[in-house]
Amino acid sequence: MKEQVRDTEAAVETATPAPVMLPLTQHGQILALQRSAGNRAVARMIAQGSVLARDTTTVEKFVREKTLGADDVTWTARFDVRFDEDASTPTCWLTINVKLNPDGVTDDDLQMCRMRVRSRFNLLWDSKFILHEHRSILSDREWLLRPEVAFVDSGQHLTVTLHKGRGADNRQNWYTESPEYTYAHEISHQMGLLDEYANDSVPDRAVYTDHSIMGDYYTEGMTEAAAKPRHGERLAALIGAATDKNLKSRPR
Amino acid sequence: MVAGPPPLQDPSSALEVSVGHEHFRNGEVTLSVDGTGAMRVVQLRSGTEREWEGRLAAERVAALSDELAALDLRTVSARGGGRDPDDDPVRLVLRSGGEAHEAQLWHADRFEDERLDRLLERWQALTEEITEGALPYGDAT
Repeated sequence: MKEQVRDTEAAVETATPAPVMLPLTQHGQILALQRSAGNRAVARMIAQGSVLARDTTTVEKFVREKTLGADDVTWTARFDVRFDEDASTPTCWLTINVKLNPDGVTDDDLQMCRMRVRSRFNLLWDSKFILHEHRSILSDREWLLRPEVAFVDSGQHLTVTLHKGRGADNRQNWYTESPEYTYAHEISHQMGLLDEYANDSVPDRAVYTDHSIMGDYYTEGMTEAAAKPRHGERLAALIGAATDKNLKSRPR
Repeated sequence: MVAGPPPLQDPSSALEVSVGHEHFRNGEVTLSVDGTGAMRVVQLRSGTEREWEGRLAAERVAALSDELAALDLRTVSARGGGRDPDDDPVRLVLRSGGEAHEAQLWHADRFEDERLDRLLERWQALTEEITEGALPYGDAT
């Protein structure tokens, strides 16, 4: 069995790449491997999962909001994306890895926070947008955008400290008694989304009062807060730039 | 090092701490305490002001004065550089003898500066006391 694995790996390494001008789809890659390595070798690789391993791209964007004061609002948005065209619905997975550090809170507090973050974030963001990929030679295709939050011990895109009680949350500091909408708001910044509530010291900010999760959902009504088409468009632009795809977003 | 008289030592001296954005969370919440023990909380939220008043007993004013003096608030300053989104501005004003010391700070700096952390803890506790929990992080949106 070990021999077969080694043979397979060798086959992958020495396989002659198919002469193509554009990045192949997964299906195309498999066909190319079948031509070079043979059907049986490819079947073994599929069984082992080696062919189906998807490439992950880390999207990174430095964001700055100019203020009238001495300090601008700045942060680096960072998350992973992975395109899975073999899913029953071709899917773009957007994953934010968060490391949650405790500050005087219990393990139960941490666990509760993780659950609240993931549930609210999923309700707000999961499967809300379709990314339409325009291709110049091949036919266009569409991806279901599925943002998710993963809590990790290492390899994080964002480190958050969880404090006890109530307070003023920001992207990197959360409080145990904060509304889960606030967690979702803060973590949405990690996808490169901007605040949309009015701030006199940020005169260039685009302000919206349409129940945006990035707006003043405190007065507009938390339960009505939602992701907006402009958010999908911004995500499409960021993901497209990082993955060299021509992407446009539309609500699902 | 900027020396100054201990805060709240005479009736004309005062401490004023404002935290927050007018158009987010519970708005900008300002706590004022003067040397007589008079306290006031003003909430500015989207153009609307609400006000609460209270009073500290003389021994609590003295204790607060000692606490604030130990924090040496005149030397607290903001960490320079970019701010995270949603970080709250903090304005600290100390008045005494016709002079005022003012500092523009940021809420998230409390995690790096224990003195600011203790000041904001006191601001939160007194504000909760006067507003009966409605502010700064209660249901007074």
